[in-house]
Amino acid sequence: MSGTTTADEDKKPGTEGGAHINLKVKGQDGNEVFFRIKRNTQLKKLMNAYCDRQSVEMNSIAFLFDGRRLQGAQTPDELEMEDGDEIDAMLHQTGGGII
Amino acid sequence: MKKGHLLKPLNQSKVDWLQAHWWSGQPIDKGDIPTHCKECSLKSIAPGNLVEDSIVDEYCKLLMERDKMYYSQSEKAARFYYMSPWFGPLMCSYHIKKKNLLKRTAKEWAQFDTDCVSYGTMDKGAIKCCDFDYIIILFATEGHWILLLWSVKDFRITLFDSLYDDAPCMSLRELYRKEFLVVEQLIPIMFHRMAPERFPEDAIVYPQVENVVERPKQKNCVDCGVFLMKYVDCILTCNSQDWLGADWNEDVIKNFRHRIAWELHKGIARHPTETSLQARLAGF
Repeated sequence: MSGTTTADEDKKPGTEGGAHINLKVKGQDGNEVFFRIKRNTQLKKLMNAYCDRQSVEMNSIAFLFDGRRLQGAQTPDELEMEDGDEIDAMLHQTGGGII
Repeated sequence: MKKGHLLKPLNQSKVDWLQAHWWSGQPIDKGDIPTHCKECSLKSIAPGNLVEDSIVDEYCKLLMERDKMYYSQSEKAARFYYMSPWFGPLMCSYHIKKKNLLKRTAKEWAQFDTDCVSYGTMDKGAIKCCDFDYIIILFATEGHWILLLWSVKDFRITLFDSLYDDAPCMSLRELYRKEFLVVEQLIPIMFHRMAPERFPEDAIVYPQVENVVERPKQKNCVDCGVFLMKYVDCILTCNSQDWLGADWNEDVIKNFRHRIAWELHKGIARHPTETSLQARLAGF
């Protein structure tokens, strides 16, 4: 793992468990960013925050959970995410025939 | 041409719709953008463009939905598992950088197992890829899409590459070193971790990739993504190997792009023909 960063979103002291969830976003370089968000918050907030921190364009990253693409409008509750779950942030790939 | 025929042209009115709504250069109405696709992704399926992974993934998922709809009730029909195009980069990034791929720390095994469950199973691990007859694996190898078909029932791996053949100056094995490592070495280990009774560690078999020599081939440097999607379509629907000898020229590919775009817009893949439907249900 290279350079672990910690980032808190929506962090409010004394609000352990319940309405909040801790999620880890792992980039293709192995870098991990930790987020704490409300279970009913749309994941686009986390995605935007991740892209801002990594200085990458939202359009260049695919976010995957359990191998499935995430949509910005989905929430941790909808996806039945559990505390500590990991989201993969993978670069979009294109192909035509050029190597 | 009959309904569902692979080469059936898309109606001009539908092509016009795509030109006006997706490829005019104007912003695309949000309501016209399929789930998981972005505006820039939709432009990538227009003729002359490199195809993006979102398009490949969404289209293959439509094909798999069709497969589920028509064949899931049949006991004879071959069963296909579709592996997301991000499986390859994930495996290449984290799990092949080992001299001995079976020697990992507990933490590394935990991560490997988590990734295997995420990408190699459905319903949170309840349905495993090793329980299928075939696994469809797609790779974007630094600008070029290739398809690897993993036959679980007879432990064979077949490469469908729309551009390259083995050449004296560069073999496909050298060209796709990482990708071959994933399918030849990591997938058998993945099977072992998923079902150790069926695939015990001391009897892991590592098959080698064989490449399909005769297949439709591209003649430019932009269409490999379209070839890849149509290879998947043909593998799922063609009972004979006839399609392998076909020549998909520029007009055919242009029509494929139109049809893929339209099917994505409608959210449903083309119907299989009656012949292919019957053949698949009968045991192909």
